[in-house]
Amino acid sequence: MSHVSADLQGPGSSLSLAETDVILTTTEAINRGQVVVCIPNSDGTFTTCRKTTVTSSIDAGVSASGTATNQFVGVAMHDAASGALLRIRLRGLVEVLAYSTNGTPQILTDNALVCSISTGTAGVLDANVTGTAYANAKIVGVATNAATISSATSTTTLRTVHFNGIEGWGRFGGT
Amino acid sequence: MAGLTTVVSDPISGVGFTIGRYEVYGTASGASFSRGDVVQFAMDSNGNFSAFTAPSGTYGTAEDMYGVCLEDIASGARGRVCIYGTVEAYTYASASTPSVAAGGAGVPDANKNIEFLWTTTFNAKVVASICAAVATMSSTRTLRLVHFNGFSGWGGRSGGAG
Repeated sequence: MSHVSADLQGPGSSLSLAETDVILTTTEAINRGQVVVCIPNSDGTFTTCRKTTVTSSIDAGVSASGTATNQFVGVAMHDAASGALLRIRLRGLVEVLAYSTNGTPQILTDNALVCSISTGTAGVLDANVTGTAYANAKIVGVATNAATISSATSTTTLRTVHFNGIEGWGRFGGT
Repeated sequence: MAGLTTVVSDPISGVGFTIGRYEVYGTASGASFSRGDVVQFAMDSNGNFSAFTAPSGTYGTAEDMYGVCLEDIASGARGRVCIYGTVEAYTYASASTPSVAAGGAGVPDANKNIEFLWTTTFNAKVVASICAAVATMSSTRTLRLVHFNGFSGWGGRSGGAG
């Protein structure tokens, strides 16, 4: 079992974020690029994971009472059947399934992404982090380049992001 | 005083993972502390951290650094404090007796606890995530296992109710 902790890669003339990958057993079928929640055991270790769900916004870091919640999330690096071992990326550059529900359906460079709470989007990130629904959401992805993508929840697209599902890149304060 | 450096990732080995752990030595200032107490580090004028006290702000609204005592520490004595990792800390809920799901987030309170159900507080620093669900979190402070991050927090600060 590996330990997970923060790291920046270097030294060098440029900065890139060190990648942290772990292997967990998935409790359901997963596709590459889907976002998964690491399920904590009672002793604080993690050995299993599942897709993020939209029925409980706790996966995004939001609770009904307005307080923040916290889950540790990662991105599936390959397809896996239920019960199989799955390599997931907890931190670093990764292709993740994403979409955006904003008026001009696109992801801009540096857009923040959070685990989607929109119906029909289990296991994906949303780049339209606005309004009150996402208040307190843990920002786990930062888009590396602009792209026009569909706003339809059924047509999520693999996008490259700087990902941090452990500490996150801060939280969204709402509007 | 222990020096804080960038945490280094361990190589991958086998299935599963744990949250890595940082422990430092600090000096108890103004009071004695018990194992599991949440404390706040005092920063000197050079930016160093060596002493700690009970948390001063309400839910950590100032930008402070927190830890969890790993042993009983008498006033004025040095002791081990966890600033990042899986640790037993005193948990508490003042507002009601909520059911807290695994992953429920907690913030430091002035009574040396990780407080759950802290309602809609803006700018509270999310320092803990509970490892196992608690059917009824009461106002009796209880040691429970949490994932703790007293420096950068788990996602930083709460935006309140939105």
